Amino acid sequence: MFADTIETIDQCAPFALKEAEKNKLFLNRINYLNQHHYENCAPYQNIINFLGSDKPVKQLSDAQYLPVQLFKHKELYSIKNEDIVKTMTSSGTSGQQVSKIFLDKKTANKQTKVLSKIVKDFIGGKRLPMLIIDTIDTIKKRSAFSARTAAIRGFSIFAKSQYFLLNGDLSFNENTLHEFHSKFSHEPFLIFGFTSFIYEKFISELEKRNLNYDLSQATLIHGGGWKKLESKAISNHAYKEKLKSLCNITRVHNYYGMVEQTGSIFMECEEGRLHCSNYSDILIRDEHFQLCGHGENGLIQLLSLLPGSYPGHNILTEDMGKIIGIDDCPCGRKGKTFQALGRAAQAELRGCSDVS
Amino acid sequence: MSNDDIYRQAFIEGLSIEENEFNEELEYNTIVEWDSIGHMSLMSALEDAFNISLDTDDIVDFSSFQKGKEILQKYQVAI
Amino acid sequence: MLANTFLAPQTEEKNEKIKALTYPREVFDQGVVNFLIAISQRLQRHGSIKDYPDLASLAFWCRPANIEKLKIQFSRTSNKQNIYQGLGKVFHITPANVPLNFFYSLCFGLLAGNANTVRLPSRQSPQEKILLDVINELIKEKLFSSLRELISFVRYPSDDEQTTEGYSKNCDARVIWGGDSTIEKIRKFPIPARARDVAFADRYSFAMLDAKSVGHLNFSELNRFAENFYNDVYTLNQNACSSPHLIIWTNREDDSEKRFWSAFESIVRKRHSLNHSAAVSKFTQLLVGASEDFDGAEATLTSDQKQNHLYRIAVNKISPSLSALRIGNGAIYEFHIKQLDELNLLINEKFQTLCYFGVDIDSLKQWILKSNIRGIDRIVPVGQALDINTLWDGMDLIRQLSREISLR
Repeated sequence: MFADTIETIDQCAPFALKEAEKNKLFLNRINYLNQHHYENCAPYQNIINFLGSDKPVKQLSDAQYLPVQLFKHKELYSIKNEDIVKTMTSSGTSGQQVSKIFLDKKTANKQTKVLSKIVKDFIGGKRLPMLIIDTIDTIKKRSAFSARTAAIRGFSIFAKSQYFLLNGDLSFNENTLHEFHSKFSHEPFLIFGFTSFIYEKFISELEKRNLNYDLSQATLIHGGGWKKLESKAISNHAYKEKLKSLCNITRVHNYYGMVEQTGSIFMECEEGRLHCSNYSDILIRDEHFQLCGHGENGLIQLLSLLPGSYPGHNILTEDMGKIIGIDDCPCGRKGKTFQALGRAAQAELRGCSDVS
Repeated sequence: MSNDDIYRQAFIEGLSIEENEFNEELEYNTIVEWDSIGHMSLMSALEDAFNISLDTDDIVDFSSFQKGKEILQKYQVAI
Repeated sequence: MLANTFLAPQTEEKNEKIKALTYPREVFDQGVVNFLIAISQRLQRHGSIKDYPDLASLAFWCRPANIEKLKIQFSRTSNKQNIYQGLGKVFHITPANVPLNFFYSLCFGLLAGNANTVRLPSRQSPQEKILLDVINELIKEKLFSSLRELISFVRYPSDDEQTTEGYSKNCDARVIWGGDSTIEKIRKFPIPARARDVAFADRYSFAMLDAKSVGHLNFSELNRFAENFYNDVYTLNQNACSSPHLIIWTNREDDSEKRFWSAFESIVRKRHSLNHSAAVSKFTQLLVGASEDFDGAEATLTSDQKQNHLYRIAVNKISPSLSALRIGNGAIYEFHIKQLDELNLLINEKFQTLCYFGVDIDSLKQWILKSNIRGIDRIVPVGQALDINTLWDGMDLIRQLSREISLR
């Protein structure tokens, strides 16, 4: 049995560990999780046995990963049924099957704590007024936990008071913006929302209505992916430029993450790089799942130390990306940095049942 | 035109090759033009040229210029 | 109604009093046959046909000799005295997984003598566009003007139930591709009492290879054979109903099988290109099987190390539910048998195509006659798994879409 190293990691600042030290602690916890899920999740055990990868690994890249789509096909968890406190679902781009992620108290808590640790590194420890580019209805539904619900609830821990900008039908409510602006625009505050929502329901509306609010005290955090904006072909750079020219927002952080690894998200720093924290790591693989070199585009594999209730600690995504560097970001944070490049081209083939 | 000429011409047209690229040792997959797609247009060209209808098995077996001659004999085409 | 691709304009009749009906027609109507041949010829001259193997196959399929062959196939089993006539209007719901499938469905409807409304996949593929352009061009020609009323294409979202309902109400036959779930959805909408449904359910296909016969092949025969099998498996990414997913080996000979695989793998490596997305999807499907322990079978994975081109999964036990664990994108289960009877419990109504090599046809025939199995509708040599025919899925589609007028 591997000693669990998570507590040692918990004692470090989230971006403090350098590659060598991090690796040792990280690998240990991954081996620990491998064994834990092997013993407690029968389908996972079947898979590992079939692939013959049931041995402890000496390198992170040797650890067995599961394709993220698998969570759409199988319900995978390593806890007793009665210990499930929350089930999260992915939005699922194909619209049909969704991933189901089962959480127990321990993993859910861990997610909240780590998320807070990571985000605090960017916005500081004080809770701030928060303008959410969404409707309050999104968080009202307790039972169905969509990725949006989870994200807003997760980020709520940084809010002193919450304002929801959108009406129930997702239309723009200028009164809310006006009220928020007059109350809080002279102190630091947060704007949070999904990448596509902020573009379509905030930026576009400000443009259309020709509104000029000075929001220069804001830090804007957005995530959820660029997929929905693909047709508009808007780059991260142009996105930031618009926010700056429209309402003087200069601190904009995109974050990248999967519902399968909630909590250990990847934040974009001031230099525009996505950062692994102590709790996460990334590898890039080609179409034969061989490791790519730095700077080479390939499939993103994500590792997280948090998932204890389900075997989602090592997943191969359908997203493309490339590594930028290790421990060398000018922003000062240690760890690997990377760029995410969106979904791999050509969606999954859906067999004979596809008449869409 | 003799059958022999028609046969050659069907290869040149069916595979879209130049006359100087043609030789009697041509085999399936030995030149880029005679791949699985080229094969289909070659078979169509032969069917049109000789006004025959080739069996699927013969289309599958049709692996070279020489082999093709044998196959066409079955269809009363002597080359 | 959101239909937006009406290709065939309603022709204005000059003399409304004696408005001639252009359908139903006799099966294998000469005008229809000429039209299909014209499509074939126009496509074969088309510059971009080389880029789309499926378009090339289509052009090959409707070449004169093949249409003639289908006609002979039909008349050989017909009563010379009787009259065979189309039903009237056929509504086709075609699948997106095989981009040009809609055209074959249309051909069956046309050759059976009907007017056709074809629902196209909501996403247009480049090869579909080329084909539609060719059809559009031809139908404008005076020579084919009488066919205009026989062909219309529509494209609307699959959740537009009203449109589906409307077309269903007004057809004489409805052809449903797209498998079990589509059939279930579409059958909610009634068709007229006299009308009929021709539905293509989810199917599973496999191969039977005789190891001993494979062993007798010389090097170039082996390559040719492997290449044919490659085409069966890898064309359409193993995504068609007739793409084999399983090899049943008879007369086990490990050396011969090894020899085959090495020839096969080298063709795969040469010809197959795998994109990132397909690789992940393939790996996912493999692990879905693994997580279920392949229904209790001992399974060994052989993949060319460091490559995702080909997964081979040898199993020591086989059950019908294995057919639900299909992987796709180049993955093959393998199972050895000593006698055909071992398959009796495996073959259920889902099994469609059996492609064979080196297997004795007579004993295959005897086995099928005696074993009371409900599946297997097509038995073809390796290399012909995807050759579509008017005999398909256990039905004669010309007969399904026409009526026989008995004349005494």
